[in-house]
Formats: sequence, structure tokens, C-alpha cells
Amino acid sequence: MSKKKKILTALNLFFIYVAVYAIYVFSTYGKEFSADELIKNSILKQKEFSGTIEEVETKTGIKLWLMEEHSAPIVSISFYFDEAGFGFEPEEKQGLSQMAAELLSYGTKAYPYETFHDLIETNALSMSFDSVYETFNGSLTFPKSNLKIAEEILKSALSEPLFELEHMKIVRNQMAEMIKIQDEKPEKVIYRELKKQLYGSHPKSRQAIGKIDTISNISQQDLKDFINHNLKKNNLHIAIAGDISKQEAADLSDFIFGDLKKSEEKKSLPELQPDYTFSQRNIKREMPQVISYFVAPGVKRLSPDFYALYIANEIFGGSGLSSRLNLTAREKEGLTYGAYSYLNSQKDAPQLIGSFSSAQTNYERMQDILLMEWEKMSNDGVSQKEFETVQKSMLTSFNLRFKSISDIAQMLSLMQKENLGIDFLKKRNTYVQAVTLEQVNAAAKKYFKTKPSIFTIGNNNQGD
Amino acid sequence: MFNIKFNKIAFLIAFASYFWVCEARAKLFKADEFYLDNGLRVIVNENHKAPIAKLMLWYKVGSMDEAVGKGGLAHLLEHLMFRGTLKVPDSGLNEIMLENGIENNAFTNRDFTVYHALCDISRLELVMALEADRMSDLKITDEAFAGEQKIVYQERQQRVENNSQSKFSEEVGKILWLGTPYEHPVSGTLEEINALTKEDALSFYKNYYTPSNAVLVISGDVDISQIKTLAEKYYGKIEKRNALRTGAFTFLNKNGGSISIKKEMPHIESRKISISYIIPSVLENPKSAFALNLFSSYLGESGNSYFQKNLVQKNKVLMAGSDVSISSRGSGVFAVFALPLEAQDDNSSIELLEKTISEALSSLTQDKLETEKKKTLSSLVYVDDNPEDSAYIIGELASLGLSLSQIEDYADNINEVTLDDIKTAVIHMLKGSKKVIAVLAPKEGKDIE
Repeated sequence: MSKKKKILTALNLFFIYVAVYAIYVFSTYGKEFSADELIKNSILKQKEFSGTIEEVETKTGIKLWLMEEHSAPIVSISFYFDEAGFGFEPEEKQGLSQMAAELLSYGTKAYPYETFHDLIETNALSMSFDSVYETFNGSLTFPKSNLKIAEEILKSALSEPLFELEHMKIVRNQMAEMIKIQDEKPEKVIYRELKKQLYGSHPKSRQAIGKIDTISNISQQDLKDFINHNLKKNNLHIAIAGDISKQEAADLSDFIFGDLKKSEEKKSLPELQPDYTFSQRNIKREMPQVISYFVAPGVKRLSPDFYALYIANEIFGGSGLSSRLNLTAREKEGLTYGAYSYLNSQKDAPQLIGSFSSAQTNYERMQDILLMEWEKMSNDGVSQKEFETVQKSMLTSFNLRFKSISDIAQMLSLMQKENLGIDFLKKRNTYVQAVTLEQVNAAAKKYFKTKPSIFTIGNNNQGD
Repeated sequence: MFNIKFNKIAFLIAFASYFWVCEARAKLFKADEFYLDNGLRVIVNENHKAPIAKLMLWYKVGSMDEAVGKGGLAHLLEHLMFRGTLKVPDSGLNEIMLENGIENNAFTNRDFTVYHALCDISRLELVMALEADRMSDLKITDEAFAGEQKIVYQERQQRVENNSQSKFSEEVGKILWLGTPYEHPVSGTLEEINALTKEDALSFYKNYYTPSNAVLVISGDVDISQIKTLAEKYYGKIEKRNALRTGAFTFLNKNGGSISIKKEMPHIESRKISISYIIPSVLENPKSAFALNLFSSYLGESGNSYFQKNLVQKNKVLMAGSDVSISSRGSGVFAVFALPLEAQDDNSSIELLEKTISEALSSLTQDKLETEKKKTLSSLVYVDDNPEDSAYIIGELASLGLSLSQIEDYADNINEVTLDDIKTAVIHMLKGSKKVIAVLAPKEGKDIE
């Protein structure tokens, strides 16, 4: 074969190859998976959730938020009292508000323990109380047909609890056990110790459950005083959702809370200066993995930077497997079962905080990746595509928050706590849409600038 | 993918209460079903509260189907299902899910492997398409396999090995189920995980991920005609194949008798005592299973239970409870557990627990049984609330092979439970079942390092 012929043959082969490839590409074209096409042509179209929130004022002057939702005969009420959480307890009586919360389910003057529980269980009432840092919370979910007994039980629980000495003993012993048992779980130990590291002796470093020596200081009178001084009409916030009319919701609230007294007392917490100055600390513990927390200052919920930083964090370490942290550390290198970060947008110590755990041998590499990705956020920001993906995600997941009546009541309660405004649900998507890539990158530059403080538990040699 | 269900305790406590059905309510759900020609069973439960839907795809395969030495295979395959198909390669699935605001995940237990997603109604068709795509066209690359193998290894360390109590629970399970396919941990041991190969995963996928071995449940703002159209469109074209069926295995009366295990472990702060009994599942002996379910609710599942009133409130133990699991392909479990007071020695705690079970049985009268039924009847209304709950309950029961009418009329089974049924079932359990008595205690003295 002459050289020329060889070249021609090669050329021919090349052309044939190109042609075949073109046919192959053409034939698979259209079979390519296009999510956007599929959504555009879907027989299931986007709909708006029809529920709206109204503010209702009752005869006795209580203002509550209500979302009527009549698709199932279920009602849920979620309420809280401001300035009544564990942060406000006397130092030597830590655990007081949580002990009160537990004992509110131990019967009342009108309904002693057994009757109380029989009524709750036979009427399918789901009632709970708990104490968090700033507020004392309660909730009650019930079938519509049992409204009368539901309001009766909750009113009785709040206004005439027994606080019997025998019951106090049981609850105190159980709380002491819970305090001890925390040490069995490294993830509980690390979170408890991290709070101490960040907040020192400030009440924010405490736990709702108290300490073994402080819960033994709590007397019956303390519990009674706690209820009398903290469950007041003017620090009460109520949210109701479900199969209930405006009038019924108002009457129910008056029945349960109408007789509460007002209080002139104004309480406040000492000023808080969280300590982010430590770069690395470790709690020594024999275990196969190292669990790590990383934390840096963040933004308050109502800060103008909130949505921009929220999006930046979703890209960095947010939910799901597609965050940068998970792509690099989990998917590419298999160093961890998962890493995540989130905004803790509390008003006195807003944080950008996250966690992961990994085998000791992987730990150093894992931490390098964390710090490298962290720095990249500040130096290079995020791409247009990353930004659009998260923005779209936040818009299309909006309706998922309405999956159950108790979820809705809790959300309405949280909206009040965070001062988001009664029209928040109507405005939320416009807030998300208004964020620009420039704003996200500005937030990333600002908040990922300081290196995070790192707190670990395990057999880690760094930062002991 | 982030959670292996080692036990279903939390769910079952809520679950038990769903099934006591009152006369007023003829059907438990508002569900409808159909089968595709390839054998896929599809169940739709309408819930029009919000424009959202929960999809769950239940494959009737779990760790009990793994060959000896291949522990962790079902779970590893579950992870690989997120690593790409022919049409949606690599982590495309995760990106599409994120972009469309879909909350998706999966879990593996001894009986089932389940993929699920909660989404806006406008994204349900997308989820169905993606779920159908990975039913038949999974592509496992070498890198993805090696990566996920490392990840499930880390997962096991995080969930089990970091924590003494989890390690102990696993040992108790192993003793209880010795000689049955339930004896192996769902995650596999660290050695087993490391020995798995890509070929193992592929053949497991081919053997078990078929339309006729799956149940698709959709609960949400949809109607059956829409789902018929979509199921036909996406799942209808998947070829009909028979799944490999593991031979039937006799769980019951395999090894009767009582075994005790007691361990002192580091990082344990207080003693914990439990007694677990192997009992018939809802498939093996429905009458007995339903009776024991009701008995556990009376014994130790609520603020007014027999344990609570007679042990906790009377200061005989610090905490006590019971739990029952009957919705399984193999046998079920009945368990009681307690945190004893500090002064108690283990033998007297165990004696006290066993004695109290017998006393509870003698104390159960017709009136008390009716009250117990009423308690659970009244909470039935909640199945209409969260579409995630209804999808789970329907999916689990349907995957066990119950017909839709059996699921809808589950009430009848419960309402028919008599005092005698309970006595027979409990006495049989106490006298004839295999049981494991387990004590977990703090390590005395200092660790020697």
C-alpha cells in the first residue's frame, strides 16, 4: 500500500468513525435525562398551599396566631412563655424549669396521676412541656372531637399542678440518671463541653437538665414559685393550627390561659461574650473515631446578611450529599460518613457551626480538607451554578414545611419567637429570590474569613 | 443512606397505637392499589393537606438475605444506589434532588431496603422517573465502589463502635437470633465490609431489585389515575424478572431456653437490664402477635402502664418499659427493660421484672382490656395527618405481603383479641420462647492502659 493510500484509508476510517459516532450521539439524544424538561411537561403542576395565618384577639386580650386547616380532624397548639427558660434560673437551682416541665404531667388537683393519664391516653391527647434557654414551651395535639377534654386537661395542668414530694423524688432521680448517662455518649459529652468552652460561666453554658448537686436543691416551693412567677399572660405566645375556627381558637385560648395573671417583672440575661479565641481543644476519650465540632461567629436571624450566608453555608456544608464538604471528604476520599454545617442564628451568640466524625487515622486529612474548603469560601466564593442550585432548592422545598398539623403549629410559634412577622410565609420566597450571587460572595468573604475554632473528642493528639 | 434501622423501637411505640381500629372507622387509610404487568405493586394514599407527596420504594430484601460472610452487602448496595446510573451518572441524582428541594434518603434493615423522598407535588414525577431509572440501570464504577466501602466502614464506626451501648445491643441481638438469618448485624462487621466486592453488589442488585420484588407507596396530594399514568410510563417499561427467593427459614422454637449475658463496659455509667423473648410475627401467628402487641401496650408503653404504676411510681426501679416488634419477615421480639435503683442486685432486679410481667397478666381484666383497646382506637385519627407516617405503615405491611384489605381492616384482628388470647400468648412466651437476659454494667475500677 502506498503512503498516500494509507493516509486515505486512515482518513476514511476516521470519517466512518465520526459518522458512526454522530449517529450514536443522535440516537441517544432525547434519551438524555433532563430533569428540567421532565418537570416542565409533568402532569403534576405546582400548586400553592392555601393556608394563611391570621392574628386573633380573644375576649381576655390574648393575641394568637392561627392557621385553619380542615383536611383532617386534628388540632395542634404550640405555646411558649418568654423569659422563663433555664437560662433565667438561679445558679444553685439549675434544672428547676425542666423539673417543673416533667412534673406538669404528674397529675393535678382535679385529676390525680392515674386519672390524668387515663384521660390523656383514652382521648389520644399528645401533650408535652419543656424548657429551653430562654423560654418555657408547651404543646398539645388532639382529635377535634376531644377538644373539650383537651382544653380542660391543659388548663388543669398549668394552673393546679400537684408537685407531690413522692413525684418530685421520682423525677429528680430520673433527671440525675439522665445527667450521668450523658457521659456514655461521646456526641453528648462533646456538645456539653463545647458550650462550656464557648460561654464560660454564663447561663448559656448550662443544660436544661441541671447538675446533680443543683437538682437536689430544688424544693416543692421552688416549683410552685416557678409556675406562679413565670407563666404569665403578658409573656405568653400562642400558635394554633388545624381543624378549628377563629371563634373556637379564641374560646379555647381564653379557657386555658384567660385566668393567667400579668406580671410587671422584667428579667434579663447577663451580657454574653462567646469565646472563639481557642483554635483547637480535645477531650481525651478511648474510642475508634474522633468527633469534631467547628465553630465561628455567624449572623442573627434578622440580619440583612442572613439569607446570603444561609446560601453560602448550604453550598459549603449544608444538608445533603452535594455540599462541598461532602463531595471532597465523603464522596471523593471516603474519610467520613458525613460532614455538615449550619447557621445557629440565635441573637446573643450567632454561629456558623458544623460537625463530622472520622477514624483517627483519617482525622488529620479530614481537618485539612475542612480548613482548605473553609478558606476557599472566603477567597474564591461560590459559582453562579452552585448559587442557583441552592436558591432553587430553597424555593421548591417551601411547601414541605406543611406536612403535619403539629409541624405547622410549631412553625407559627417559631415565627413569633424569631420576630419574622405574621406575613413571613407570603414574603419568604421573595426574600430568597432577592439574594444575588454578589451578596452570597460578600457574606462568604466576611464570615469564612476567621478560621473556625475546633473542638474534638477522641484519641486525638492535636490541641490537648 | 444515612440510617440503618438497627431497631424500630421508637417507631413501633407509635406504630402499635395505629392499629386498634374502632367501629366508627371502617378503613384505616384512604388507599387504593394496582399492579403493573411486570409485577410492581403500587399503593396510593390520598392526603390533600399540602401540595406535597411522600414516595417510598420498598424492596423486599435486607440483611437476612445475605450469604454467609457477605454481611453488610444489602446496606452497601443501598449506598451505591446513590452513585449513578447509565443515564444519570456519578452524583447526578444527588444534584437533581438538591436542586429540586427534595428531601430524599434510604435505609436498610434486616427485612427491607427502602428508598424514600418527600417532595413538592410538581417534583413527584421527577422522583418517580429517577427511582425507576435506578431500579434497572445502576452503574457501579470502581471508584464509587471503593469510596462507598470506606464510607459504610466509617458509618459503622460512628454508629456502633464509638458507643458501648450500641456494641452491647448488637451482641444481645446476636445471641437472641443465633442460628437464624437475623443473627448478623445489618451493617456487617468491619472485616466483612472490607471483603465485599463490586461483583457481590452487582449480583445482589440483579437478584433482588426487580419490579415484582418491590412495593411503591405514594402518599400525598395525588389521585390514583395520575399515579397509574406515571407508574405505567416510568416503571411499566422495566422488564419482568423474578427475584431470587431465599428458602423459608424456621425461626420459632429453633433454640428454646434462656441465655444470660452480663458485661461491664467502659463509658457505661449505670446498670441496664433487659429481657428479650422471640415471639411469633404477624405472618407466623397473627392471633398471638396481636395479643402480645396489646399486652405490651398494657404492660409498659405509657404513663399509666402496669410497670409505671407498680414499679416506677412505687420506687422499685428508676425506669421501666416494654416494647414489641411483630412486623418482620422472620420472627418478632417482645422486650422489657429497666434501669434498677442503685441498691438492687442484678438477680433481684431480673426476678422483679419477670414477676411483674406475670402479675400484670393476672391483673388484666375484661374492662382493662377494653380501655387498652380504646386508648389506641382514639389515636387512629392521626394517620390522616402526616403523609410520611401513612407511607411508612402501608409500605411495611404491604412489603410483608399483606393485601390492601388486610391492611385497611387490620382493626378486625385487633378488636377480636380476647383475654384468653392474651393469656395463652403471654404464658407461651414466658414458658416456651427463647429469651435473653442482658445486663450492661459500668466497668469496676480503673481501666488499665
